[in-house]
Amino acid sequence: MIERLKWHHFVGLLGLAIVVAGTWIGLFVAPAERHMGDVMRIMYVHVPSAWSALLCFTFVFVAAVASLWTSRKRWDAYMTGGIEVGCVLTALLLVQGSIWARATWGVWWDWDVRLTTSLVMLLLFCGVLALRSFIEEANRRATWSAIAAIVAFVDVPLVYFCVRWWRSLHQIQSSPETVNSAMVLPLRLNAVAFLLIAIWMIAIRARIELARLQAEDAPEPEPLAIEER
Amino acid sequence: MSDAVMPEGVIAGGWSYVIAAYSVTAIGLSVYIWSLVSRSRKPGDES
Repeated sequence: MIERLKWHHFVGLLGLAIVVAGTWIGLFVAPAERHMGDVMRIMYVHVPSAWSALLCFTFVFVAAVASLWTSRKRWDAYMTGGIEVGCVLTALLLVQGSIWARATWGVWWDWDVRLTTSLVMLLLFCGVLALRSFIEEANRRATWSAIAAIVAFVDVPLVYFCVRWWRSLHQIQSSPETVNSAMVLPLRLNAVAFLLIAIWMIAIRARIELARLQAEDAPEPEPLAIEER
Repeated sequence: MSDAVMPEGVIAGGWSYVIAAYSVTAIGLSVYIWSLVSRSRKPGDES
């Protein structure tokens, strides 16, 4: 049983264990914020979702460059896994942010620069997944989706730095110096947990994609030989 | 030019928003992980 568990399953189980601890501390041990009250506890899933999504898309950029450089299917599969997991995390990020915005800003959505660039990031990478589904030939699909992923990645630094570069409703990045020390522990725990869970999901998705790509390459079975038996 | 003043007071009733955000996250991740597991167990797939 244990021999059958692959490394990424251990990573995933560790991530799930840490997220339970981090969430418990964030919800029931860490103090409420002075002005936002308990609503601030959304931070313990919102910020880890954002960090993990940005790291997923950074990994996608690396995998896309490696796929173009080496033409190995493994990188194409990793890139696909990273895009899909990054899109899931970004979608969750936008919903969490919308709920938080309703409580603090009074609106579900605002065309603020951070929110808009995050939505554009989601749409761009969903576009890469759509592009993959339209191209049947494997090599062309790998090439064009890698190029599209590299182009889409241009938005990722914009998402991170936009709150510093332009006027935004969204606050700038916090640091341990600007956050109560009791809030830092659950934030760090959940950040590590979300990253481990993201690695787990990317590994599983990449394996599925690699199996699909290898099945595409496999020669068609000969039906006559089967009928003769 | 007047100095900006941080308004006093605390947002009340915040737990419903917290529960909503955590629920969406848990359900979203669970559904996606379930979809991965079901896709990886398709016949003929070694993963």
